[in-house]
Amino acid sequence: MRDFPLFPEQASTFAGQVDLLYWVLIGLSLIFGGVLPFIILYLMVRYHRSNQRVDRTNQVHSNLPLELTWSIIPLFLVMGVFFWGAFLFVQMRTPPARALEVYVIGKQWMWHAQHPNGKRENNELHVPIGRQVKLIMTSQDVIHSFYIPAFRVKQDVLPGRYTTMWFEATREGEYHLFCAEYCGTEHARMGGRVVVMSAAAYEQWLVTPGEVILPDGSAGSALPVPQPGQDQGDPMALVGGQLFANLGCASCHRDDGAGAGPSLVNLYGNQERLVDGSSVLVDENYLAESILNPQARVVDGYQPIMPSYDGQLSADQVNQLIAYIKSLSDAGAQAATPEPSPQASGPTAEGTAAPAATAAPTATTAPTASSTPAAALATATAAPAASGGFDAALAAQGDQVFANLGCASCHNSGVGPALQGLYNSERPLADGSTITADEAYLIESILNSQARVAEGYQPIMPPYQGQISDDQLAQLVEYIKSLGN
Amino acid sequence: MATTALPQSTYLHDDTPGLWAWIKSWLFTVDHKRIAILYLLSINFFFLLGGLAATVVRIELVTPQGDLMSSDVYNRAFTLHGVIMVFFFLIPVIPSVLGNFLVPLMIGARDLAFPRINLLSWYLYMFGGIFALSAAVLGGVDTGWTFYTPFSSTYSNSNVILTIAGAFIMGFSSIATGLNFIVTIHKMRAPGMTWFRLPLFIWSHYATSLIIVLATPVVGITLLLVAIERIWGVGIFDPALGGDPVLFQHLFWFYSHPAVYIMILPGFGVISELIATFSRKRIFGYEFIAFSSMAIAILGFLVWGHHMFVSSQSVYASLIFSFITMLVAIPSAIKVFNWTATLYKGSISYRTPMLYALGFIGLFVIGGLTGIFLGVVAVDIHVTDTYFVVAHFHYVMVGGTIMAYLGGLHYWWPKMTGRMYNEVWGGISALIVFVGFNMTFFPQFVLGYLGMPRRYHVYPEEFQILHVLSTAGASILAIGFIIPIIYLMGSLIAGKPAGDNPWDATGLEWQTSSPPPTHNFHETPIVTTEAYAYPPEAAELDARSWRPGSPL
Repeated sequence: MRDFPLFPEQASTFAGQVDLLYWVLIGLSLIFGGVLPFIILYLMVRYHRSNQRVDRTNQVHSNLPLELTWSIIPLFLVMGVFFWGAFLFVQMRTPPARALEVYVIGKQWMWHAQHPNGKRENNELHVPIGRQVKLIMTSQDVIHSFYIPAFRVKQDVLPGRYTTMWFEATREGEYHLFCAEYCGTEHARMGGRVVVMSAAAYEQWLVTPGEVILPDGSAGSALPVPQPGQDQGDPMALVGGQLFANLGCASCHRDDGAGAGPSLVNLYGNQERLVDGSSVLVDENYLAESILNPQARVVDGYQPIMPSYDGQLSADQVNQLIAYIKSLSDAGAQAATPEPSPQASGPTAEGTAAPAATAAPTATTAPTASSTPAAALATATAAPAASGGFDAALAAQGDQVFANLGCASCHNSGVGPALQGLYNSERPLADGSTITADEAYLIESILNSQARVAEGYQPIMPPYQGQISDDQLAQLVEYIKSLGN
Repeated sequence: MATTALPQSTYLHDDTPGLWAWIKSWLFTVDHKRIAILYLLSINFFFLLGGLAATVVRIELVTPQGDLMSSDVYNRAFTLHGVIMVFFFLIPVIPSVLGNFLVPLMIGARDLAFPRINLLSWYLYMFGGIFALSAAVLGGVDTGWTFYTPFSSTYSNSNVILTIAGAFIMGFSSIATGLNFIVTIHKMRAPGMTWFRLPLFIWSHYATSLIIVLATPVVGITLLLVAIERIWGVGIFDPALGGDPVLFQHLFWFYSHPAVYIMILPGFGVISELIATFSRKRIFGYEFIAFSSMAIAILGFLVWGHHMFVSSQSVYASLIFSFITMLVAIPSAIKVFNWTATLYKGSISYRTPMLYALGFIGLFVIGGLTGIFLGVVAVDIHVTDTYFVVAHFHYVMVGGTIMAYLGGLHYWWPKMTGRMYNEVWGGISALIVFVGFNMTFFPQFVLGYLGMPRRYHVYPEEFQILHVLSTAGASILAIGFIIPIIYLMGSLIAGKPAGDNPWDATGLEWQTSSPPPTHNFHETPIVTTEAYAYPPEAAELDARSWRPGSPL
């Protein structure tokens, strides 16, 4: 029957349940659709005009009890299948809390998946047998639909939002993966296979290096290829954390909640109050929206000042940031931590492979890291260098610090004043006075940023007193001086 | 049937000589019967075009490789098939051809309430058709008839605007017809023609017209929004512009699900007429059939979300849509049971229209029951967007609407043309259509549950046998559609004059001559009986007068 199947394979926990309901529907249909045609055939023959022996007197033209009977019996039957289908549907739509999370991106005309440890694949999906797997999916262009017939699951994948789907595979093997929503020219070729593997084979597969093409067309190497036997942690979240640091998100989204943006700790999975008084459940969709279109739904108590990252980040990078933010929350971290993998002890500072030693304070705040290296950085000894020009070496380091702290996200976007030509220039302040932006003012504006705010700007910059070392402060000042005077 | 020649003064007859005068007398006619003939010719032309596109699709699917045509050609072929069949055939076919011809005749009126609007509706239909066809000729369109955004509004580089313009204009043609029917049925019934003496054909057209007038503007606006986003980049549906792609689906299905009932409800009306006439007795449960049409029309507005169970619609919305979808099954079942009960103690003849009517019931039962499969959310997740859906809606659309249309066309052909068609060929072609249809579409249920997605021209090899079977059935089906064209045309020359009432049926349309005079009735009929007022002994008498050699 391999060449001419009449019924699909069953390879997930849903398959049997859906098929049972399907067979019951077929059975009920046969009562009506199978019997009724024979009644019609019988009447057609028996009461054909050539048959003069049948009784045609005492015709009936309406009969209320009969009408009610054939209205109410089908009503009960369809209500029965409705509730059956409804309960099964709710189960299929409710992802379990502790599922293996795989990020999927659809794009004309390919599928791209990224596993929790960062392993990527195209047009294939490898999943372990007997594990609940949750797919978190989005599209880069048009609507697609992720369809695995053998699992009896399907979910549309939309641009601009996340949809989820879950399943648990029950049989090892290879199954069809289709795109079920028409998406243009090569729609029929947008698919591949789903490979269900034993847990051990899956663990092995995860750490086998593989070259893939990213959805944006570049060859993928944003992640260090995991090596067998190494502590892997949760690189998806780790890379997200690194990105978080590089973009300087931490300068506003401070863990202690004192920043210009809300703290992201324990954010995912909880309700947040918005400025308009409504509340929102923080899920993947809200996180993605808040990254790409941050002014759409602002958390109560905060200003709509975050710049949009739309066009700045690839869909992959947004997924990584989301994975990182989820790892900061109890609900998210629980879900993201694979249960059976014994080595998932949480990432370490070395694992992040940060570009410079001057990692931003929260860059390594990964799921289980109890204390941050940032605390150790806070010392106050050296005084700022006082010289007329600027020290090129220090300025270069300052450039790095500036990038890591994410200063550019405000100071290059107009939320904060531009720093070009600032040093030693006369600047009006919010209180109407003017000041010369000398070193002292620069230092004050970094460490105690709300003391003297430039005219036309809000006092929203977080104070970096205690957040950065004196060395870093000196480097920053040299860097700002290097921007001209 | 004593008549030997056609009546002299009919709506087909012209006094003025000359070719140009003759053409003008048709193109500027405001006679509902002539407009129905214009519709008949143009709609059947579009049916053949749509069928041609279907042929291209079915031939490509014989092999799993996609070797006969490129992806783009295939995508354009199935889009053309869908757009033409849905917008230019299935939606207008029964109301605009049979309804146009029969609504005034059945209620004893001289014409529709707004004869000029009726003519306008045909011109709108033709303009819409020309737009859609020019889109096909100028390179085609590849969005599918559903125009899902943001593919249609941003990504497709085919003639989306022209096609949308065609469907948009065609929508106004529908609205004009629906409005005309509503006003006509309300205001122009003959003396004594009360609501509960109306033939069920009129009830179903009334329900259909309500849907047309209420739902069509929504799809018009929706398609306009797609065009606005496509031309000016205004963000409505494309998330990259700040829009919402699912919003399009809500708006689109808010029309397009009721549109399914625009297609099938008039078919119900036709079947009710045929079953009563060829059983020679009053239809069983007249009120239940009439009100079930209205119930379907109302419930039909509340189930659009069952097209969107996997679209990311909320779980609760899906459950409610699923629940209401289940309720639609009840009025549909009521109709089928009442038709079946009408057969009991009747005197049934197997004339061509009756064969189509009986075929309709069988196919509609399968189409309706598989609709329940699709309404049960957990099953729908697996089979939506697969060939299961394709098979289901072809059972309802082809097995329902086209069977009813062909049955009705044969039934009223003598009234429209004054001549009888060839009964032998009629019966043969009805059987060929029935067999060919089942062979084409039943394998697609199996394909769908196996997981074969829609709109694929390349598919895994294990599906090939079922696809070949389906294509073989489609060839038989095509023959079944071509035969009637030949013998119906032939009947115009060689057909026996039919006489006023060849079926010995009730109904005002049979009381006037065949073909009817321009003003339908020489004097306004006065109605004193209910519809289908066959005497109690009609069936008995009909059977007693049957002799070997009489029509079966």
